[in-house]
Amino acid sequence: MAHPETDCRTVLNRLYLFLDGEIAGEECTTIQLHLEECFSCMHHYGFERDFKELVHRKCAEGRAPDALVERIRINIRAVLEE
Amino acid sequence: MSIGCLVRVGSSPESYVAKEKKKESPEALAERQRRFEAEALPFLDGMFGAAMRLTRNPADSEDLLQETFLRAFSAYDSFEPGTNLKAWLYRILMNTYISSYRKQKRSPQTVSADETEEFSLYRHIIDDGGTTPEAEVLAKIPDEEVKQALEELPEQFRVAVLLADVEGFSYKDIAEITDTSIGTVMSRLHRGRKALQKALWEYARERGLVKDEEPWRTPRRTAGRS
Repeated sequence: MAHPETDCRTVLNRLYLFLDGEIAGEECTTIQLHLEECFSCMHHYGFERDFKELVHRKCAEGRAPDALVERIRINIRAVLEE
Repeated sequence: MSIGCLVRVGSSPESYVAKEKKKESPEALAERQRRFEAEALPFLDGMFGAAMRLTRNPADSEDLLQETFLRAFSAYDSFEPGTNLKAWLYRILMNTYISSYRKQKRSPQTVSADETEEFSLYRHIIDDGGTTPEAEVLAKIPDEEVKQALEELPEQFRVAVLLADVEGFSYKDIAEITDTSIGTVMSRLHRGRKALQKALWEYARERGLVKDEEPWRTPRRTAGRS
C-alpha cells in the first residue's frame, strides 16, 4: 500500500459523508484523490455506493395508485366547500 | 442515545391546521387549490413509497397520505415559496405518522447500543474469500426482501435510511424533517445502514448466496438478543 494506514482510516471514517455528498471543498478533493490512488479504499467505497444505490432502487414503490390521487383531490375540494 | 425525539412540541401539523380556520375569500382558496395541486401533488408518488415503508401496509399508507395531504393543503399558506417543498411535505408526513399511526403501536422501539454492534457487510463479503462479487450477491436479493429488511429496522434507523437512501434527502433536510440534530441523523444513518446490511447478509447466508465458513455470532434475523 502506498498510503499510510492513517490516511485510509480517515477516508473510511468519512466514507458515508463523502458518499452522501455531505463533504465539500478541499476535503472532498483530498478524499477523491485518495480513492483514485488507493485500491482498497476505492473498493470499499464502490461497495457502499452500490449498496446505497441498491436500497434506493429496491425500496421505491413507483407510482401512487390512481384511486388515491383521486381521493386526495376530492378531499381537498371538500375543504373548499366547507 | 435519546429515544423518541422525533416528537417535538411546537412542530405538530395541528398548529398549521389551526391557522387555516381564519376565513379566506373563495378566490384565495381556489388559487391555493390550484397551486397545491400543481406543486405539491407531484410529490405523491415518492411519498407513497415512504408511507408504505413507514406503515408497512397499503391501506394504512393510503390513509396516512390522505391525512398528510389534507394537513398540507390546510397549511399551504404557511409554506414559504422558494424553500424546499419536498422536505416540507415529508415533515408533515412524519408528523402525521407519529401523531396518528405510530401511537397505536406504542412505538418507537428503543434501541440499545449493543443491539447494533459494528457490522460491515463489506468486510464479511471480502473475508468470504471474494468468490462471489459483492454486487452480484446484492443483486440476487429480491426487492421484497430488501423492503422487508428495511421495514424491520428500528424506527429511527428505518426513517434515516429511508430519507437518505430512498428519498435522497441531505442530512440537513433529514434533521429538519425528523426534528433532530445533524449529528443524530448521521449516527442513525450509520447504524441503520449497518443493521440493514447485516439483515441482508443473514438473508444471503440462509439462501446460500454466500459461503458461510465463519462461526461468527449471528442470531437468526428475528431472534432476540441478550
